[in-house]
Amino acid sequence: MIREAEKVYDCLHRERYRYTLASAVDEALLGQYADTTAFRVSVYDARHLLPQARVTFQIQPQDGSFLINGALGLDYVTITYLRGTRMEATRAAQEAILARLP
Amino acid sequence: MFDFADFPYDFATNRLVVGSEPMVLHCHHYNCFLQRSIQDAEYIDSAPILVGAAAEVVFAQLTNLLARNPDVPARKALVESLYRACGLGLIDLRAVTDRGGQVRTRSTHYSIGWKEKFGISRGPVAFFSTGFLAGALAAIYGLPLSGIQARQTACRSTGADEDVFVLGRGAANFTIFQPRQNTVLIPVGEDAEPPTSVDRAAITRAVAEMPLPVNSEGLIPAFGVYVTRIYANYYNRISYAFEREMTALAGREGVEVAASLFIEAGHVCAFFTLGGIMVSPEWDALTLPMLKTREDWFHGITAWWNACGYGTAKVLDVSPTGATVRIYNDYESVGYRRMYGTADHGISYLVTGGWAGVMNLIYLGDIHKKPDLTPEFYDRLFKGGRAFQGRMTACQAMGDPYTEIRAELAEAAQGGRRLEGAPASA
Repeated sequence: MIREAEKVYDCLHRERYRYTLASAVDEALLGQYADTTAFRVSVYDARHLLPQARVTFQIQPQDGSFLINGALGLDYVTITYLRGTRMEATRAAQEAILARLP
Repeated sequence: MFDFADFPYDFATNRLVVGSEPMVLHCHHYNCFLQRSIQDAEYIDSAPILVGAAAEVVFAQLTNLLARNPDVPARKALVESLYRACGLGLIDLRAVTDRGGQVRTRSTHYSIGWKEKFGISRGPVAFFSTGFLAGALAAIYGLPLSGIQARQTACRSTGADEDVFVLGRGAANFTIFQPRQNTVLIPVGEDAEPPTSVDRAAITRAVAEMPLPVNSEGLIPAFGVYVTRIYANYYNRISYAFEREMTALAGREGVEVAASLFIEAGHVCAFFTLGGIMVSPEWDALTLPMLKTREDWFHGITAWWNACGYGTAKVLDVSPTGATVRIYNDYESVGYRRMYGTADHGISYLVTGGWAGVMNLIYLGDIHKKPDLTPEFYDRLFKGGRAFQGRMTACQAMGDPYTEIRAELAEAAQGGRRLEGAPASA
């Protein structure tokens, strides 16, 4: 569930939001983007070096229309949307996914 | 195919060397600002310097990387993948022969980044890519760099649909620089640093190994900017060649002008790249759990700095009124000495502006509150009244055993005289 959607300045003239969620991000979010033909998901786990670190991730569809940055355990993600005719629909779809999360 | 993962980061010196060339992280703000600073001096013919500097480092690197691979298509594939891995965009070299040819692309870091930062340009701006292609053509076919010509005939930064680069044979239409000397590195000292709960070494290791995914355009959008991993000695060559031209024109005053421009480029780097890092989820995931005080934030960003290929920074002291950072093998000094020998004045401009910028972000800009990193905020933070100013108290390029920067809080200088960046000695 989205607790707050804050528009963040983006110097690349994209639309960028920081979504604060009702609970910490977990694997369920990554599960929404598990289709590898549609999305590229990059996960980085540095806990072998930094035990208190969180696992970071980046999610991008093949068409590059948005970019999600976050980390498991944080209570927010940032999503950057490419401007274009489909931007509002793309944003609505990602926000619907976030809204469905617990 | 090229993969940075095949080239391990040297944690002893905090450098990344690929095919004999040190590679560093910067963003489109720094890249474009530095280039524009040089181009704005219209009384200097900077285009041959910008193209020649890129051609020099790319030719050197590829001559090394391609040495064991005589197959031309395979060489081209490696060059294309290197270009993409660096976040420079996309190139297709299939139509290029040993006589040259045309390269057309819709994605070039400098063309796109320039338009994002400055808007429409009057002419082509992708000098780096032009030089890259010149160096690549020479290396792929084993030709002398002095026999290559390269120019950009269309650029997306001007509003065109694509970038077009034209390569050919003939006397080089860019600067061919004197060969560089061998790299000389200095052992990193055992300096006493103030205690901190921040495990800098572990953060540096984690960040250096963190993947920076390249998108379908061959760009690396990360930390709110377009990141590149390109040649330290490209930045060095364009900076110091420009400074020498300025010195030839205006003597000591030329040095002062160049220094102020390059130190401001350091501010830009700190604000957009390091600031972007400090407001990112990656920072919150890897670094924030260790941070309790603003001094910890300084140690945290030092750890990230050390993962960018800039050399080894150590924090000798940091407080709300100032900081002293000692850097071993800062890439500016190492590169300067290879190109021009021992310097007669401090030349570590990026670190001078960069560390002052970090102090501004942490102590005046409240970066821990995640402010929007807007141009207006930049102007308030760096061009207003009170601000941290950096000063080189030692410079490795001058023969000192390290470079050292003292950043102190200062009121605006009276009469517009620049206090920042005063060299270690002159």
